[in-house]
Amino acid sequence: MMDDKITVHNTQKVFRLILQSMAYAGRPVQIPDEVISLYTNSLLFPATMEVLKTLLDINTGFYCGMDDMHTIQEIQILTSAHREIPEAADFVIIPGDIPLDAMENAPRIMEQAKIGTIYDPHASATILIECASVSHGTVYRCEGPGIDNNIQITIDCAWDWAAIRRLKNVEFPLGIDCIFIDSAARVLSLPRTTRVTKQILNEVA
Amino acid sequence: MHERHFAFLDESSKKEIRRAVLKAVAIPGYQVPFASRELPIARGWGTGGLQITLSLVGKDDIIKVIDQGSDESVNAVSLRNLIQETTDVASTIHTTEATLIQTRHRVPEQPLKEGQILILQVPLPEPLRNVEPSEYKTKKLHAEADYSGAWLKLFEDIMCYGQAATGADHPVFVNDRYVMAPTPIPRFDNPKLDHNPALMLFGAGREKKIYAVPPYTKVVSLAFDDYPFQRERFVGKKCRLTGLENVYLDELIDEATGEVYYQTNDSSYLLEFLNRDEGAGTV
Repeated sequence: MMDDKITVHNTQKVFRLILQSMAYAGRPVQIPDEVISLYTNSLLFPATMEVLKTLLDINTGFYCGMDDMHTIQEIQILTSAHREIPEAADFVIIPGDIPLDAMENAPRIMEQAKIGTIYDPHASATILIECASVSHGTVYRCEGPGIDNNIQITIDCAWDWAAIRRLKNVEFPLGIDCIFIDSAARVLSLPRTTRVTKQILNEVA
Repeated sequence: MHERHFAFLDESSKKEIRRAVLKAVAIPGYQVPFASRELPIARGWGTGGLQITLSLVGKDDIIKVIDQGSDESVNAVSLRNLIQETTDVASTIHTTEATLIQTRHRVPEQPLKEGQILILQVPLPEPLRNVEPSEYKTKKLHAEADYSGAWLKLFEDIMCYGQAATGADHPVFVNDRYVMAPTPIPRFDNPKLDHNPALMLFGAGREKKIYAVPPYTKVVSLAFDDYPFQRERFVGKKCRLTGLENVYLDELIDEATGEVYYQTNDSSYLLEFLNRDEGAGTV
């Protein structure tokens, strides 16, 4: 069956932006408005839905850290992906706009994500983290492949993702790869190879 | 008229390849398995690189396809035609203009820049294959970072020949973790992989593997302290047409006279150099 041409070209553009962000770790990319559709049944950011539409299909399992059935059904209809428990999901979605009690669950969800095995380190989860901003907030210093010497990134996220990520990625090549998405459709990726250190000057104006 | 998919592959195939590419970038040098698709060219003729190109290419891309340094060899032209017939994207021979560069056996002479993606066709992705025939065992060796076989092969070369006997495909250490086959690029090109500002993707269609070297990644050619890595040497030789000495040269024989001469292997670099000289002469 032929996919509609607009979707084909839009997902290609979104994929190249995700690839660029993963290759040049820590550099935000902007998903342009013209490739973002409206998802009236989903509580996730439209940009998150575009990333899911680009990467998920019937062969992938996902876990969404919110109980809203409309959102989960929208993902399933859009991608044909199946629901999974956090420990088995290929893609783990941690929504930004979720109730406070659920926010406390965000670190626990990330802790449960699979990290692959030494034989199959690629059989690990990609974590999609919705956050307030990838252009201001807490300052982190990043080093590793994809970065020329080092880079400073700023992420405004309500929970301490960096500490859990460090624990998950302690034994390379095992680990998780993170994709941060903010409400302005900016995407910032941190593959497991990126060493992230929280800066002492926490907040920038 | 029969309608066909943009960039030949169906969207489900592209998604699977795209996910493999992302994991490859996240784990530099690690061979990610993927379900290699049937293409209208035979396996072993660049299907791995082609599947990556077809999964990445978009309407705004400018592609360049080279085969052993040439934009005009039969294989390069056939692959470029297939990509263009199924996408209508623009093509170029100029390295600086291209957004996607698919290549066999060479890294272009022109330094790559940020945002460009170099896609290498890989015949044999496994650098340990000549010391261990079992895929199951090589996977285990990579997992345990047991590269004694690769070192032993290098040691035997030095014992037998006084130097590494790898004409091309000299193995490299990527990000201090995985030993990787850089594809049969000449040793001359190995240093170009180190901290390159462009993303480099490797596709092996027959062997169903994708791997990557992200930009600014440490890539070191395998060597011993007392037998350092050496590129091919062209001491006292230069390109007959350009006079260039710091490029990879082809050795050719004039059939009429039997005279041996040398010529820049990268044909677009050669042309650009000649045209630049001509331009300078007319000013």
